[in-house]
Amino acid sequence: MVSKGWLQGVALVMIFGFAVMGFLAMMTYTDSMPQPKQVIDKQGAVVFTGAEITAGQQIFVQRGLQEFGSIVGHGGYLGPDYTADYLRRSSTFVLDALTASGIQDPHGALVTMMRTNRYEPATGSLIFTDLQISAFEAVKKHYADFFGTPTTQNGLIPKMITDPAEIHELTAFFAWTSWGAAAERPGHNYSYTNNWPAEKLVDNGPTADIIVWSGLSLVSLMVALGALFALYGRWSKRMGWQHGEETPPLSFRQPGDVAVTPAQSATAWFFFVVALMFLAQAFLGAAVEHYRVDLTSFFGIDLAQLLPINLARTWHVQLSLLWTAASFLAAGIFLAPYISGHEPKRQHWLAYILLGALALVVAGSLAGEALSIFGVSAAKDSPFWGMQWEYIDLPKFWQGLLTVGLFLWIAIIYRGIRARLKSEHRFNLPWLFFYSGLAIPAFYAVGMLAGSEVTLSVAEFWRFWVVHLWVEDFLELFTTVMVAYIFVMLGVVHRRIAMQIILLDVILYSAGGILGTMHHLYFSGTPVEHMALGAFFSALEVIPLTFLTVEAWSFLQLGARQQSRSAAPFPHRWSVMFLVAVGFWNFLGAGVFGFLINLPIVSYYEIGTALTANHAHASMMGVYGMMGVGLSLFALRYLIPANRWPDRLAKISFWSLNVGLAWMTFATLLPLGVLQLWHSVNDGYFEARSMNFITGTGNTVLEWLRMPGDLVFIFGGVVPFVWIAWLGVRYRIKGTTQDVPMEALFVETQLVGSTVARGTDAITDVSSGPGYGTGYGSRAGERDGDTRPDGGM
Amino acid sequence: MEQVNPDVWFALGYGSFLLLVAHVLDVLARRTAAATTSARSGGFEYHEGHDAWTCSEDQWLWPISFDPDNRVTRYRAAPTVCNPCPVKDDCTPSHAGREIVRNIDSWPSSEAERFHRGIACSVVVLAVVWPIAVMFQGRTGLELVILSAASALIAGCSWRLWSHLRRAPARFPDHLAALGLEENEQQKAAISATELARRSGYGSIRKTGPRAVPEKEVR
Repeated sequence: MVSKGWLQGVALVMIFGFAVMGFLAMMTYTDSMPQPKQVIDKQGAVVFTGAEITAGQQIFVQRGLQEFGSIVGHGGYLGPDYTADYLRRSSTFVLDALTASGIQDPHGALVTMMRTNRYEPATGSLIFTDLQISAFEAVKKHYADFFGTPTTQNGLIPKMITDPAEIHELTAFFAWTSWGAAAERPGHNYSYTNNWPAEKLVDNGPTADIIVWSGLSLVSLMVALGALFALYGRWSKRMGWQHGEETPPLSFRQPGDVAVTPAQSATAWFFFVVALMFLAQAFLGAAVEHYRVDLTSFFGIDLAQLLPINLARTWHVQLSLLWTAASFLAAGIFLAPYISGHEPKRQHWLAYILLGALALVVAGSLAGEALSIFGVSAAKDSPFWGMQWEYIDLPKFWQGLLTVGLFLWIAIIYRGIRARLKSEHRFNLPWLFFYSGLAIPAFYAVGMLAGSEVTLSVAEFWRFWVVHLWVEDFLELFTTVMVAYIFVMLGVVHRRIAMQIILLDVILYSAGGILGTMHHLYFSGTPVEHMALGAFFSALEVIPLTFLTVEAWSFLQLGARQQSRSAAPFPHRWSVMFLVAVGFWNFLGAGVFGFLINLPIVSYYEIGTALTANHAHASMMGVYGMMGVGLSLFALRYLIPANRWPDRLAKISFWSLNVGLAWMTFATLLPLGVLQLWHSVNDGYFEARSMNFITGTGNTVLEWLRMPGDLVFIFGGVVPFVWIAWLGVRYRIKGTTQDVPMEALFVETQLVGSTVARGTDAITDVSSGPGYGTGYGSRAGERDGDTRPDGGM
Repeated sequence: MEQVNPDVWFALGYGSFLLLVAHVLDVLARRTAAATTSARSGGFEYHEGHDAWTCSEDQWLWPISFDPDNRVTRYRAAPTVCNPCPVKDDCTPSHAGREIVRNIDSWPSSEAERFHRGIACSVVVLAVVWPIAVMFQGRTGLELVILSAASALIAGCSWRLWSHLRRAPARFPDHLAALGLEENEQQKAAISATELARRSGYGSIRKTGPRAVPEKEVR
């Protein structure tokens, strides 16, 4: 069906990408910011130990402080970045002391003190000067006051951390990252974090590498774009996108005419759970947003007593991943019978077990996160209740259970399509569906390597395998395969073209996406190679997004084949419109807003600001959220009886979600991000991340301006979707058969006798099919989209 | 001269920026829709004046039929032109000449265009609202004049966008009747009954009834 060149291209990109990633993984372990065994004074007395740094890191992670503020730029946006915060406070303390001592050049002395690397690899000891130790004690007092405050003035629970030992450990962790941010790497004139954060007190400014690799990544983008469009102009006709084939007329099988299997019927419950999680996530997002305009009161209620900002954000972020992923899993289960034409007995039992496991993981992990944040003693270092790094916040046990659940899901899929796989070549569409599905649990499992006790740089490396590689690359791939397959099943895209789109997608996304993972690790204490490769390759991530936009999402060739006389309209209007929205947000949210913060020199000043949140919302909701809703509506269209299908609600939901999201980004996130970036460059990163700036009057107006969009999003977009999902449960068509048409949600018809245009004589016309083979291992001469003998009419 | 707060200039600048973004989205909406239509027609060019197409080799395809139920017109090139054509193998397997269809209702590109224009209009609403919101921050008389003028100017410049949105119908072909399961079953039963009621020319069949056709054969 497709030439071997495509497969070789995929293999080449994958092998190259993961070989380099292996090399970078090795460097992460050997050349990252070292965690000392002990920090000592000049006399050898221990100030704090490596174990205390790790303990402090675990407190930071388990008490949800990464969902409030950030460390090395990664985390929440409301609180300070603790690396920058400690660096500023300790540097100010030392500078004041040096100035008071009357030395000639206090700033020069401060720079020398902070940038001199006194780490001894042989002993694992790091030596602090007396002033650095005094600064440590002073800053420790500040954190004791900050985290021990009896009020909810910071959006955190009262008296959050009062144990002096815990404050000591937490400060030790901040002090260590701050040391790595200023102390120069051996043999280099920049710090372990590539001189991040920008801090004039210690002469932290952009390095030559940051500027050069920013320029080179721009050049790589332009060259690659030029090359792609040149190739596209040369080959696009051959690839078949713009072939405009002569096609036989189609009649789409109408909802109600398409029998559903028991497992497909079971997915109605999945979609209802997905919708409820989406609703909860949206309300939590509104709460998080409200903290930014009024930190101490939610319309008169002291919300932080029950739902502190870090818990609200933890749940908001977790649910965003869980509901979108769950919708993809459910859509996969729904599609499996259409792929094989048959559903094994008791497949629906497995589906219900998976749903139960999902519900258990969601409830268990959210409960664990709450216990962990509230500081319940049972949660401390507990695999069941102790939360972990941002985005993979689930406690270890639930993370493991979710991984097992994902493997169970792919086992369900395999069981469902096993018969079909046996008769297909290993690179045909059913196998691509299986491979892309298998990548989901496989790459999610990598997150297990990023425990809360793992050294920061190493944890960051593996964490972003999940955040970037799993989400941005392999979920993207799986959804592309699903969408392509859906359109093949609907008969509106030829199998060969679908496969070409999928393989091109793999090549383009993976070429930039695999090594592009490193754009998250510019300042995480990893070697400069991570930044160089991350900048260079992640610039290429814009290409597929641009390409697909120029291509106008080639799948949209619907209607061109809708020429049947059987009065059977296309049943998936709003699913397709959600896919149109995915294309739009892919370009704007992932492409434009993503590239806006991708260059190292921009990231250097903006990391952890509202521009990051802008990209996150526009791409996560805009791409995966819209995709999740679109896939849900596709399945629900067959599960809800035709006379109960609420087309108007689907329309309202579509427009409200999109208008609400556009408002969210343009009203608040983008302008606030630009202002914060300007403030960061002009006044300093510490100032731009301070609460004084974030909750300042001007910003508060911006935040309030977002409210209309949020209300439209929630009540016009999410609530109708919940209702549609409820209808899917309430009136779902029961599964009555184990056999369904294989890949045929349409019927090809012959056009007989049509009227000549312009009122002339009637002409009988019989269309001629394209006559494509179905590819490897399929029956010769069979046309794409042929209704199989076992596919009922 | 009164001092004007930088927030006012920012509101002015950002409102103008949003207006620009909205216009860019509007242009992209039109181009994307055109690109989709073009992709669907295999890069062939439609000439409205002639109601005909030209292919990549500059040959004409003329209308041959119109399906009024589905509002689709079909066009075909002369076989005498297509069969000796050097790019025929990449173009059509048919020996009767290359054929192309044109949907009168160009959904989904028409609704995609409407969607993009709808987003452009929601962005421009924000552009108008922005300066108004800044007016509520205790502004001086001069600042109020600047902000209200900016808001009015942006609203005026957005008129075209609303006009475009109004003239960009979704064109979803919902004129086709969607039949539910029961209606389909009733229709099938009626057709079946009609077929059975039709007198066959064979006496043997009239006596014994029609042969039961295996389900697979029906398909």
